[in-house]
Amino acid sequence: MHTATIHNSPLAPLLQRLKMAGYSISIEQMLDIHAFFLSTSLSEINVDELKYLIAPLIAKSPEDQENIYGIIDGYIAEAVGTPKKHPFLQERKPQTFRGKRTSILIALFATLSGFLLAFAMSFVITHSRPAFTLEPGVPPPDTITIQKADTINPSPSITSSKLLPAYEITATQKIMPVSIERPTVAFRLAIILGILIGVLLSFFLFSVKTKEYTTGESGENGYMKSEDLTFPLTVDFIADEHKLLSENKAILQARKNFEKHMPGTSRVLNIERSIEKTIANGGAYTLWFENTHEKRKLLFLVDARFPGGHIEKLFDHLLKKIDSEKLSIERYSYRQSLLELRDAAGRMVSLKEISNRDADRQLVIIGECENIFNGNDHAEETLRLLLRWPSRSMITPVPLADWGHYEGLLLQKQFRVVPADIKAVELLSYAILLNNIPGAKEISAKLKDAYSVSGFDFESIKDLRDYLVDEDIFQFVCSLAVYPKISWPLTISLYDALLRYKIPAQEQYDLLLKVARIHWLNFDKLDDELRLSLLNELRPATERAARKKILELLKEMEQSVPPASPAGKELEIQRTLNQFILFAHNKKAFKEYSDSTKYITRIWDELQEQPLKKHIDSGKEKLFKEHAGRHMNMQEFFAREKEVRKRRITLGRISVTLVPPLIIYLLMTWFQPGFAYLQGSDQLKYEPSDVSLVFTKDACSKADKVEIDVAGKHYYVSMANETETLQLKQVEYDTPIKIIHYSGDLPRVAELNASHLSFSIKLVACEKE
Amino acid sequence: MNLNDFTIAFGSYDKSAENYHLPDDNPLKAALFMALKLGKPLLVTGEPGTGKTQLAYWAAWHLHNRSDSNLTPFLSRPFVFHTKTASAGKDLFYHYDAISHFQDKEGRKDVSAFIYLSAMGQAISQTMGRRELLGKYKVQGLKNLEALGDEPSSSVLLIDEIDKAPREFANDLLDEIENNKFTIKEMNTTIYRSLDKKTRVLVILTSNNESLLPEAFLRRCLYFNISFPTDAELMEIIIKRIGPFLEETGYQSALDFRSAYEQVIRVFRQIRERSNVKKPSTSELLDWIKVLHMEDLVYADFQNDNLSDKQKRSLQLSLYTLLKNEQDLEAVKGFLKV
Repeated sequence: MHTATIHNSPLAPLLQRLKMAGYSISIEQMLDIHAFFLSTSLSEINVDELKYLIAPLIAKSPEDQENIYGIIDGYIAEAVGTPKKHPFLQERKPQTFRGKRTSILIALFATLSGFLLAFAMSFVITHSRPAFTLEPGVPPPDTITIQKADTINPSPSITSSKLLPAYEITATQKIMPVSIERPTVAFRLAIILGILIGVLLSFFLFSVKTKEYTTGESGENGYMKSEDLTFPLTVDFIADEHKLLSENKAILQARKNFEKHMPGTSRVLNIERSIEKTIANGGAYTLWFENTHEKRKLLFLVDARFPGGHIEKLFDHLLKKIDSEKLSIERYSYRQSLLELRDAAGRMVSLKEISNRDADRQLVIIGECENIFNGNDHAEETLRLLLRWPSRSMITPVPLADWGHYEGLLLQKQFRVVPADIKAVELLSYAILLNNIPGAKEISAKLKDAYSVSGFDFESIKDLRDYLVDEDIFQFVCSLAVYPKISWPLTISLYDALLRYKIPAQEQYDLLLKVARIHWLNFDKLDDELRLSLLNELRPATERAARKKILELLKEMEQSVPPASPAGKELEIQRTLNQFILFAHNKKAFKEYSDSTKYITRIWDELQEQPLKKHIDSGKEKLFKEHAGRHMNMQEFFAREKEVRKRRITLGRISVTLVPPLIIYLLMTWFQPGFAYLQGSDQLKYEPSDVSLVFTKDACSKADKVEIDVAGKHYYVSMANETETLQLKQVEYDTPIKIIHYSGDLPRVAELNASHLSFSIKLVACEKE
Repeated sequence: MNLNDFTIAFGSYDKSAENYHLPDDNPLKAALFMALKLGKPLLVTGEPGTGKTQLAYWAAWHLHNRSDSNLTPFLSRPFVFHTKTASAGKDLFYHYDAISHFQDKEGRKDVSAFIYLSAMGQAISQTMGRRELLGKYKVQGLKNLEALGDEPSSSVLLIDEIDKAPREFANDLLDEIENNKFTIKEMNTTIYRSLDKKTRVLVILTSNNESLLPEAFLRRCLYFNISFPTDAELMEIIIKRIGPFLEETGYQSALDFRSAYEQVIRVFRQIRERSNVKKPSTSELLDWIKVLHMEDLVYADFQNDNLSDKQKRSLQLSLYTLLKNEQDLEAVKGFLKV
């Protein structure tokens, strides 16, 4: 019945998924979820916030909360089809110059396209009309000709006279220049200016690009120069263990057990309780005594033969988790011999001194039992001192299945010996609390999936795969070879990126222990052959995720690593290498890393990353594209890249050079600025044409002859009739024409020019109204 | 650090509820809203100093200032119960001062004079208001009735650090919450919660994750873990909560120090990374920044050897606001080269 209810709900698949992930959802929780969603307007709920509404109802611990967020994010990503924003996805980088340059080019091309379109339209319109010719007397179509009708008034000296005949001249121009030189001017300007700008732009863009590749190159090939000997020498990754390592219920229980006070030796009277009890007993005096308790005092001696190794770091994490304000913990480490201990500040202290001073503490040694005996010339003395502690325990990294002689010896000496598996540590905490010694059977019952490390050769890929059983875990271990150095923060960060959502939080500690039991993870560097083998086994998806994570970690380290130090160089090389490989894998997705190619091209031959080089050059780098039935090697990649870049640069240069002239030309065509379209004869060319002068006398005019001066050549018109016309043939454009009217004693002169094709000249003698 | 040069600053304003940083997109707000809507207790966990207790003060302040026709107005401050290692279910409702009663040999006073209501008792009583409570029940003699408002009000009930109490306390607590009543045995009186559904009690429980709480208890609560703030959130918290302190001490505005705080946060992160026993929390960061301001160290480059001896000494002393353990102090001193 409930199942039916679940499947009718839109959230049913999600709830089902949560159930499959191991979360029990009670009917009451189900009802709460439905009640909430039924009583809340859907518009108030953002799909991204769904996790924040469901997780509080189901989660019971911080790890649950994180896991549920992950599951719901995954579900939404699948259901909605939007890419899930993984918490470890790199943040979008601020726009680099390259990004800006691309934007500039895009803007230029967009502008160009717009102008080309406008130009094309304007061209079509212009050329769809018939070409015109100037035919005197036959005006070209109005739409094409420049039509100008001016009234040229005579000079004031002429018009002001009332006594003398004057002129009223009407000029009509219906003319179009035969050829217009404006394209020539604009084109020339555009070409000159544009090419100049284009060349400058091209030089600027491509020289800056080259500069990007050439800055800060010296010493970046991985070789340390003598002046580079500054600190730090290597990149020490930092990881937030609190965030990356899940809370483990067994560890919390162990801590809780340790936090319980040790019984004291005396008893004290509780007055308040005594009064309450006395009242409850009807006034009969009842005294209430209580035992005194004191803070538990623990002494941890930790094996530090491999400082920074995974086992040491895991134990360190364990101790940090166990430590609490309610406990008194003293901690020392040892390397060669338990007789020589070191405190947190590195000061040497002898076991003898500690045994005298801290014998009242409960002793817990974390390390291999064998260390106490084997290769220790003072084994007897060590054991004698250790036996001074009445409560003594040993947590060993050796799996229960591999226990042998030395563990047996310590058990005989009343040591509580447990393997480092978390359930066994929890069992130890109970044993210390109850003061008993857990036997191997009891431990074995606690450890569900006991395994052995003996018989496995961890340098063999097959054995490693068999040991880890799960392919995803195997891939995670292989991913540790992506970075050339072994580091615990890196391991847990990669675990977080690759396995966190696959492995239940409560299994994290034991899985990390299983991984830490691989002996080479306790060194600081992998053997080259082994690293090569691990790289060869990596799946592309795992490698991609690992490289992204490493880039993220390197970015976090940028602030704290001086660029000039060896660590700074390491950081720079590793960042560029990882960027390069990701870019080579997917140029579109990782285009922001494209600049790394040229840098890597230059330093590749001198790069001290032999396993990686070998891995790539043998064509086994699966992130590289396939070519001739295998993945490209570096030389092929470089050659192809060079060719592509060359083509792109040539194309880019041509485009950048051509774009400005085109834009300028189009701008000039569009806006026709004065400097490109100078008004006047310099810019316009006209054919000689006929000019007609029509003279009309008014009733009072007594003019009988009119003299016309055309560029020094004189014509006379006899005014026998009221209207006379003079046709001047083939007069050059703008030729000055003077009309001299003889009306008796004083000539009146009107200045005209041949830019007008037709003049009507009225000889006025009657007085104007 | 010369004590004579000390600028006295109390910095008490920064704990006021309105300065609590809880933006709208914070999932904690959604959890709070759900708890109110579903009428379930909200269990908030997280490292000490992440603002679990302050959340209840903020919720009371926020709900008090918000008008909602579906709710009787909230009181502006929460009722607070500080859990102790010996707390029992009864302690949530009232406390009976047996010793004082015992001292009243002549028996002149009524037993109610030795009883005062605890937080949950107050919250239940507040659902009907003091006037109705006194009208309905013979409880005039109770010691702290003046803490209640006359009229019915919704309220926020904070039960702080529930993980301090014995394991069974947690289960008892939910039973008591669901009972909607409590009995004062000594007075033979049972007080019932108002039946008005608009009058709510929003229960917020906090835990430092010090011990595991019973499964049954967890199932009946809403759960939210406040993770340690991100750098951006830390910056917002600092700006909001250091502001009043700066005003008090005559500095301008916290916003003027944004770049300095970025550096402080970065170093603080590294200090947290190096602290094994007790990681410093947000509230300790705020205290540290106050000291850095007072000592003019807020802009100092902490990891730079160029610090003067006086500055180094001041920086070293300022670390006591952050670190409470010798081992952690040693580790961080080495890191900061002081």
